[in-house]
Amino acid sequence: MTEGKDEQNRLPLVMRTGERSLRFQFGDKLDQGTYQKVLHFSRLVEQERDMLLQEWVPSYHTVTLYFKKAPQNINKVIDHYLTKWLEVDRTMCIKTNKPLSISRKVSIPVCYDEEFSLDMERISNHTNLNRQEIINMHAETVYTVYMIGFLPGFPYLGELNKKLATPRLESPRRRVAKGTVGIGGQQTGIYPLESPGGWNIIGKTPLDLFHPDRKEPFLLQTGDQLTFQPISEHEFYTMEKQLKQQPMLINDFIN
Amino acid sequence: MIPLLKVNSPGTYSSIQDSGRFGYQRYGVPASGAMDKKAFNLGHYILGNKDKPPALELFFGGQKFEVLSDHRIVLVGADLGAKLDGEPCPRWKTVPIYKGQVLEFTRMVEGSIAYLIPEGGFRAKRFLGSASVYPKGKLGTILTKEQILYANQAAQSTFKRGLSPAKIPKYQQNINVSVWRSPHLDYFTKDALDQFIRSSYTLKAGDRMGYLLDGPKLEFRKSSDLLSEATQFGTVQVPNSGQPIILMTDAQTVGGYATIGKIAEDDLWKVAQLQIGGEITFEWEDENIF
Repeated sequence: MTEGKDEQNRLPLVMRTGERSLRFQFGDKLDQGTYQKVLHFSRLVEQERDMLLQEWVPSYHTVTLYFKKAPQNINKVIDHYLTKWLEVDRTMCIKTNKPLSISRKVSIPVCYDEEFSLDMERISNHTNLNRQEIINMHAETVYTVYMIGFLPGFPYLGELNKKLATPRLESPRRRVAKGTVGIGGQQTGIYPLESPGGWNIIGKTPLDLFHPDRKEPFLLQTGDQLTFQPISEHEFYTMEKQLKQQPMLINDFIN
Repeated sequence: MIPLLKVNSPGTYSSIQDSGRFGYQRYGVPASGAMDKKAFNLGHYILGNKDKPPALELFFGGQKFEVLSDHRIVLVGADLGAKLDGEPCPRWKTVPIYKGQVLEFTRMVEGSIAYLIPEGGFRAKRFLGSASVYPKGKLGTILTKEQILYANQAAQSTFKRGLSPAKIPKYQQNINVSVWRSPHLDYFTKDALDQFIRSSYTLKAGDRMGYLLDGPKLEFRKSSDLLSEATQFGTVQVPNSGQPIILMTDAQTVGGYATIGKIAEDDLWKVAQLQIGGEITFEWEDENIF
């Protein structure tokens, strides 16, 4: 293989998807290697502080850049990011399949008690697991926050233990409380806001994943390594009260 | 803080909007902001408002307001049959309003979304840097009966200003729009791509999240499901039903269905202003060099 060919392989596919948007694609499926590239590229974009850049949205396999206005010379912009990317790619070992060292670790306290686990029986019936087994399996996994969307601050988490997969409710609830932890098909997640929802409810966290008036409005960001920490009902209400008085205590859950 | 309007009737959907909320899409917060940026911008231009302060966005008509303070406003965007104390209220030019008057939007005449902007804009709470209301994210609420809307400042000018007739946008029920090609075109059959360009699609329903179209079904090679990725204002998403949805400014920031393109910015306002039953045809944007 020539050097040039190797370099080509390391470059993402780039496509202009609108006047002000560029899409960088790092793979075509969900795998760790692709996702590492997404995270590193996002970090590069964040550190670049390109004046023309308005914002960027990472997904499992793409990073989309939005500019404040249509770049005059889009090829120059693309070249700029690709050149920077090759520098990152050369200097950083991103072939490893291990979680990134740049990732934060976030521990989410969850009360799985009956009061908050409205669909535990449904999950139990579907999975043939008892309550304690379900809680253990849900809480022993380290999840990656692959993407945030659907609602402000709603994390797309991977991967739920397949044994816990349970189909969504046939008719969604009109209201699912803020902080609710649920299982929907092969996915698990946390509702950052009260919203309609069809996931099976297994618990609730006292943490506000999204609080528009907080200095850091969002608790989670893409790439975070997330775990669920089972807590008692008493702990739930104590934490809820403390967090209400001192919202900044939420930072204690981030490592 | 000047009390400007009291809401006697909030209409179908009325909300405070500005240029949008930027920098939070990666946290799942859509850009929001005015659906018809062209009208919104022209309104501020007419008033000479700096930094495009918050405006009131009105869908479809049915709103009724009592004026609480003498002021100076402009109505732009759709013709929603506005009447001030029963007399037709002009659009695209400054209008003095006086305490006690009633401003009413009676019916949808041309277009579907109007903007009411006072000199200096409305006073509104900003969330994440923007006053644009996004109820799904609990970022503000739509107008409710009896609510009081405040102006940022008292009117400082009595200047009459308007837009020259040639510059006033016309809202049509048959539009042709340019579309940037999507990276997912290989999800569609070749026939589907031809059909998309050849056919006309009818607006079936619409809100700030999306405009649902109805027309020849677009077929997929396999299915529309894909790994979720970023979407934007104007993205034309096609779920497995084969009927396109134009994602509007409050749409989700990421989507898991194939998209066929993105409407050109210069044409988005025409889409926003379509009434139910309006027809759209699409053409590919030339500039695609990739």
